[in-house]
Amino acid sequence: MKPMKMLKLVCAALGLQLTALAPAPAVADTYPDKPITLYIGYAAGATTDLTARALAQGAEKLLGVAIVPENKAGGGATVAAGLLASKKPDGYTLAVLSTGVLSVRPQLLNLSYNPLKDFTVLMQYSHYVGALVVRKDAPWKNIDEFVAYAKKNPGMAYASTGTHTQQQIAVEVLRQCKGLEFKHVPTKGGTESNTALLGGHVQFIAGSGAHLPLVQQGEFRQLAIFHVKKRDPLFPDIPTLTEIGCPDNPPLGYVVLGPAGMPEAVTKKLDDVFKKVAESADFQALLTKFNLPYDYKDSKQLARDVPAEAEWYKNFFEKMGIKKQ
Amino acid sequence: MDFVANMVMGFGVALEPMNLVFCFIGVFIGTLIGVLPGIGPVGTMAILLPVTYGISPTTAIIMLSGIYYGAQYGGSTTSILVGIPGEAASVITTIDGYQMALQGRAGPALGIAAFGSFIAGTIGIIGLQLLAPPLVSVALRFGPPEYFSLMILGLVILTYLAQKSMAKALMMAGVGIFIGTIGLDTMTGTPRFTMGIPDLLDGVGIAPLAMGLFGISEILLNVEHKIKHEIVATELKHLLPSRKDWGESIGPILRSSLVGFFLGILPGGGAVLASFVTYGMEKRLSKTPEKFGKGAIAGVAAPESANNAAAQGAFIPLLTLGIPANVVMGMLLGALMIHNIIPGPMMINEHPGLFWGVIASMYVGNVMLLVLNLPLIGLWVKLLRVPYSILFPMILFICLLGGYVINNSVVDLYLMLFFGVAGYLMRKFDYEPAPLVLAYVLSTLLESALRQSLILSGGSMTIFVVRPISAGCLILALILLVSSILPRIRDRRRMLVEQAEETT
Amino acid sequence: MNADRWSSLFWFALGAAGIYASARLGVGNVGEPGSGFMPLTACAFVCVMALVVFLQSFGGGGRRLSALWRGVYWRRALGVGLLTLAYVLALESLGFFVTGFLLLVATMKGLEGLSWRKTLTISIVTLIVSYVVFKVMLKSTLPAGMLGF
Repeated sequence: MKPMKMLKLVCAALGLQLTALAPAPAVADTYPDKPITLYIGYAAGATTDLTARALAQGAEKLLGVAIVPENKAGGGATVAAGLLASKKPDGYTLAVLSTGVLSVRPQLLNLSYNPLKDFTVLMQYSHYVGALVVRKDAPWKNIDEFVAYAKKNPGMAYASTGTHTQQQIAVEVLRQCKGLEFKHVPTKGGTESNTALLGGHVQFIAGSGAHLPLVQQGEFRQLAIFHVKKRDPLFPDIPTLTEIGCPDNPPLGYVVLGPAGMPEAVTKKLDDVFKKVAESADFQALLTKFNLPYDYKDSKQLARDVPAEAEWYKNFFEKMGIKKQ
Repeated sequence: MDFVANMVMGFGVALEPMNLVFCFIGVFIGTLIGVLPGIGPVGTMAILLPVTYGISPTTAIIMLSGIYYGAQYGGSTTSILVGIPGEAASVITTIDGYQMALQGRAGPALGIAAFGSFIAGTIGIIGLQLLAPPLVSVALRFGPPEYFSLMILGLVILTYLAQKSMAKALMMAGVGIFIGTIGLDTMTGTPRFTMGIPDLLDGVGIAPLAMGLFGISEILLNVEHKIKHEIVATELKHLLPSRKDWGESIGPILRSSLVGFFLGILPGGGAVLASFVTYGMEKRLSKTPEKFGKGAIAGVAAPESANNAAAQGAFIPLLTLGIPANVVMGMLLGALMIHNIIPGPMMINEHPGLFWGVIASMYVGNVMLLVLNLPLIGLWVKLLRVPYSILFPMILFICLLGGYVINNSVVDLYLMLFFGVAGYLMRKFDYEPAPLVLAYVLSTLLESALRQSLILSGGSMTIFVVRPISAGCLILALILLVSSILPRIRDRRRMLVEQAEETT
Repeated sequence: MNADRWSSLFWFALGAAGIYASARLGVGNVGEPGSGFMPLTACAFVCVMALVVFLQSFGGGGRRLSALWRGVYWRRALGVGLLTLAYVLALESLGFFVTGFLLLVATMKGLEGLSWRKTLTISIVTLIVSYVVFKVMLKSTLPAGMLGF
C-alpha cells in the first residue's frame, strides 16, 4: 500500500476518533466519510446477495462513499447476524439478512446474539414468497379440489426447501387447519424440490420462489399463495391461505440492519437513502426479474412488525412442541 | 429444425468478435481459479456477474460457462504438480498425477489431462446437442430411491481405490461419512456435532477438508525431509505424452467421457462422482491394475476426461428444463433471469441464437483452453524446479488465502489447519485421505436420499428394490463388491494352502 | 509397539465416542431414521474396521511407532504447523498484508534459512501478485486488520 495513502488513512482514522469524542450530532454531520461494510448473510449469487449488491450500488452514489459487500454466509445467516451484533453502531457496518434470523431461528437454536435487542432494523425492501405448487397435469384445478382430495387420500407427499422454513410452516398451518395428513420430504433447496415435482416423486411442493420460472413456462401451477392477506396482483386468480380460512405465517422480509444503538441522525440518513434506491426504476426492475414483490417497510414499522413476527413463530413452535436445541 | 442449420447459426454467433473475446476472458479466468486452490467457479461467477449487465445475454452466458469448464482444466494442474486438488473433482487426479510428477513425468501427466479434457469436452458437447431432451426425461426418473442406490454403488466403487490396506480405506470412508453429517440436519432442523460454532451449521466444507487433508498435510510431510523435489525435478523426461502413453490412455478417455457425461446430467450427481467412478472402472478394466496409484497415466486420463464431460452434461437440465444440476448451473440460471431469459422447454425455440450460440462457443472455448494450457505445461514444469524451500511457503500462503476467500471466514482456515494436521498424522500411519474425502462428498446425498425415500415409502425398505433403476444400481453394486472381495479371499486362501503344503 | 495397533485403538476410541454422541441425537429405527442414524452407522463401521486393522497388526511386519518419526526433521513440520496457526489467529486482527508477510518471511528465513535478499524479494512479489489476482482481478474481499490495510 502506498505510503501516502496509508498516511491519509491513518489521519482519517485519527480524525474519526477525535470526532467520535465530540457530541453525537457532529458525527452525523460528517457521516458518511469512509467506506461502509455491508455483510450479506448468504452466498454470492443467491437472490438475496444479488438484490443486496444492487442496493449497495445504488446507495453508494447517493452517499458518496463506497459500500463494500462482504458475503458471510453460514448457518442461515446467523453467522453474519452474530458478527454484526458485535460491531460498533456507527453506521459503518451494516448487513442484509432475512428477518428469519430475528424471528424464527432464535426459537430453534441457541444463538450468540439477542434478536430483539442487538440490532437496529433500518428498512425492508421485499419479502420471501411461497405458494402451494403442483404440476401442470395434476388433477386438481383449484385449491378446494385439492383439499377435498387430500381429505380422502391422506399421506400425499410434498417437498419443501427444509424443515421449519417459511413455506413449509405454511403447509403445516394448512394441514392443521383443514385436518389433513401429508408426508413431508425436506430437500436442500428450491431446485431439488422442483426436480422432485417434475419427476413425479412428490405430488406438490411448498414453493419458495424457485418455482416461479417454471410456472411462467407452464410446467407448474400454483393453487394457493402463502403468507399474504391480499391476492398477489401478478396472480389474481389464485386465492391466499387466509381466504380459505387458514391464516398462515407472516412472510420473512429482506431487511437491512445495523447494530443496536445507532445514532438517530445516521439511521435517518440511511433510511432516506435506501428508500430512494429501493424506489428507483433499476432496482424495481431487478425485483421484477427475480419475481420478488416490492414490500417497503421503514424502521418504525419494522420495530412493530418484527417482534410481532417473533411472537407468532414463538407461539407456533410452542404449539407444535418444538423446543430449542 | 435442421441440425446442420442450427450449428451454422450457432457458430455464426460464437465467432462474433465480442463473443470470442468474452469466451477467452471466461476460460482464462476459469483456468486461473481452477489452478488456485480454494476459490471456485461459483464465487467468481457471482462476483463477475455485474460485469455482464452491460453485454448481451448470449455473451454473458458464454463468458460464465467458460469460467466453469475452464476451471475444470485448471483444477488438474495443482493436483498433478503439488498434490493439492484445486477442487473436489480433481481429488482423484492427485493419486496418480502427483506420483507421475514425482517420477519426473509431470509434462505427460499435464498433457494427457489437457488432451483428455479437450476430447471429453468435445464428446460432451456432441452429446449435449444430440441427446438433450431424451436424457433429461431419464434424469427426471431419478428420485430419492434411485439416488440412494447410486450412492451405494459409488461407495462400493470407493473400495477399488484402496492402494494398500482395504480395511483402513474402508475405515476412512466411514469417517468421511461421519464428517459429512456434521452440521444442521435439514430434515429435522437439529444441529449435529457443531459444538456451538455457528459456522459449522453448514457443515465442514469440501475445500477446507480437501485442502487440509491433501495440501497442508503434504507440506508438513515434505518439510520433514531436507532434499526431496530437487532430485526429482532433474530427471525430466519428455514434455508431452508419448505414443505409449496415448495407447494406454485413449480407451480410458473415451469410456470416461461417456460415463462422466451421463453422471453430469443427474442433478446432484456431477463431476466428483464421475471422477472416481471412472477411475475405479478403469482400474478394473486395466490389464495392469497394480500400476494405479503409482503413476499410471490412465489414472489421470480417466478422471480428467470424466469431470470435463460431466461439466458439459450438467448444462443439459439447465438449458432444456431450466433445472440447475449443480450450484454453478444455479448461478447461470440467475444470470439468465437477470437478462430476462427464462430457461426451460421454451428457451430453445424462443432464443435459438442463445442456445446454439452457447453450444458452439463451448467448442470454441475447448479449443482455446487446449491452446492456453499446452504451452503452459512447459512453464509449470519449470516451476517444479524451484527449490522446495521457496516453493512451499508460497503454496502454503496461497492455500490459506484461497481457503479464506471462499467464505471470508477464518473458521474455514482453522478447519483446514486441523485437517492438515490430521492428514499428516493419518498419512504417517498409512491411512489414505482420498476415500475419506470422497465418502464425505457422497454422505449428504446418501443420507438425504435414504430418509426421503423412507418418508415416501412410509418406512418400508422395499422401495429400493421395487423400482427398476434403483434395483439395477443395487445389483450392480453387489456384483462389484463381491468381485472385488472374492479375489482377495481367494488369494488369502491360496496363501494358507501353500503354507500348509510347505509344512507337510 | 506396532504403529498399526496404536492407530487402530485410537480410531476405535473415536468411533466409540461417535457412537455415543450419535445415540444422544436419537437414532429412530430403520423405517424412520433419526438424526443420529447415519452417524451412528458410520461410526459403528469405523469401529468394526478398526478391529480388523487391530487383528491384522498381529500378522507381523508392521512398523514400530517410534520409527515413524526417526530420521525425519519433525521439528520443521511442527514449526510450519505452529506458524500457520499463528497466521490464522492473527489474520483478521493484523490484516492480509502483515500476516502474509510475517508468514512468508518466518518460513523462508526462519525455518529454511534463506538469505534476506531472497526472502524479502519473494515475499513482497508473492504478496503483490496475490493481491492483484485476488483483490483486483477476482474482486474477493481480503481481511484488513486494525491498521486499515
